[in-house]
Amino acid sequence: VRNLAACLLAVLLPTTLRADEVLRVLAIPSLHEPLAEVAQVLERTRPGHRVRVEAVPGPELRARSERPHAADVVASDLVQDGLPVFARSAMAVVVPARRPIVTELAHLGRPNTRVAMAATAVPAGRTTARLLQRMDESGRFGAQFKLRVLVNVVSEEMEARAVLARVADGDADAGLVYAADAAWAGRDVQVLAIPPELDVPAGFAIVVPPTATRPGLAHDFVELVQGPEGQAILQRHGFGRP
Amino acid sequence: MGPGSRPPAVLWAPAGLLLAFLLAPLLALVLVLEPAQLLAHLRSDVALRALLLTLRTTLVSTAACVVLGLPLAWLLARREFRGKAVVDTLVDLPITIPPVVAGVGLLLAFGRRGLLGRHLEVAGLSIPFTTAAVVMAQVFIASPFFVRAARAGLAAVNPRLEMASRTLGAGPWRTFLTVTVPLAGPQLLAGTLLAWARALSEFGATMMFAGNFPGRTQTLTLAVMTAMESDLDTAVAVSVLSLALGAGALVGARLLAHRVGVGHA
Repeated sequence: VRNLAACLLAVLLPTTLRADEVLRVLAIPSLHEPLAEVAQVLERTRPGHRVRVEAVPGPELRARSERPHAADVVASDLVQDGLPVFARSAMAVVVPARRPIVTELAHLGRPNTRVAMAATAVPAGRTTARLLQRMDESGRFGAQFKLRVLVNVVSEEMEARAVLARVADGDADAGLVYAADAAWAGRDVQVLAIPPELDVPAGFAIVVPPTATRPGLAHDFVELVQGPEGQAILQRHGFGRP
Repeated sequence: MGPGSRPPAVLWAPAGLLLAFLLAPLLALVLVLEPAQLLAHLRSDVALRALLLTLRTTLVSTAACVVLGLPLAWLLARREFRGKAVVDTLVDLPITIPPVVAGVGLLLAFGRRGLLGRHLEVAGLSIPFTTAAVVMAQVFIASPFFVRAARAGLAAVNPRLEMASRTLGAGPWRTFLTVTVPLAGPQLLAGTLLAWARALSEFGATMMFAGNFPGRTQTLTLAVMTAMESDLDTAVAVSVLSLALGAGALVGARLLAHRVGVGHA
């Protein structure tokens, strides 16, 4: 619940700065911390400029970034044709740190296990579905693994971080999230890693919308994210190279 | 300015602006799809399951609001007791707190590791992610609407009529059921419809506390949210359906309230 509340606060905090004074970066919650750090780097190297990184749930981010002049940079897990991928993350299974009933991947398919995942309508959910398919085809987790896991799903969230919160609060027995999210959650959850040969890594794309009000600074921000300094920050937060 | 005299034209400008502003999104929703398209999308699996679940849950939650809310409304309308002001405020509180916050509160109380939830869990009962959680979220958010209306309705019943009934030998229950309830009837019904309409539109608390799963916890509003990501037309169709249900409830409540006005005139 602490995590849910934190997500809420991040979304609800009023925006008080005037739009023309700041570079406005919209990012899905999974990308918020590393991009906020990149923003600090940019502010240090460019005195007088402010960068505001806002954590916005995916659905709202996509709706908002379609409006003209709504953002200078948009970073999310929706990778469309032609968008540059600036980071990747493996998928991971998280379970509550206290008294987990799922202690290995095969347990995801056991009856009466409460599994949270992202809805297949959002990118995280589509990646999750592909991962389950691969795990199923590997034959290592028993017959009809994917079907058995899907039967166990109790909630389809609109955001990987929301899945994480369900597990951290102990309401779900296991959740499928980005490994980078799992690294962020800290002590509330334990991570069950996906074997590398089965993993379906998720990509994250960054784009400067055509109606950005500060395109110059926006492109500087994107370059910084893609450059060695930005990549180092992303790796510290559990993301991999593109 | 007496009633019936013409309002100054200057009032019409801001009033008209507000009305146009309120109407624009509703018109946009209704007009964006052709009727045939609308019906086709409403026959989709997602929409039908969400509609059935919403009707089932709101029926139960509205009944709970009435059964549990009527005694409270009666106490508030007819009895003086210590802490009445506190109870009064408490009843109205769900109207003023954001539903998402209510959902976090419900999780903290009834979640598997919540204040009460952890004891239920020991007893083998787990509430989050169930249809029961949807009903609980709706009762939490909608009950004040019934209690407020019922309280006003009961308070408006002339106590002398009840006393007359008692003098004629009717017991307190019989008096309540045959005198008080019929006299306050239209108000009680209007409150019931308002509570139902509020339960229909519940989103935030349900999403937080009950999660989102088709057929189990995905009500119409959650279906709209989910469909927004993949199938905008279905999202619009389900929105129009919700709009129609809500408007129906509101019109019903207004007609009943009107009957009250006529009855008292």
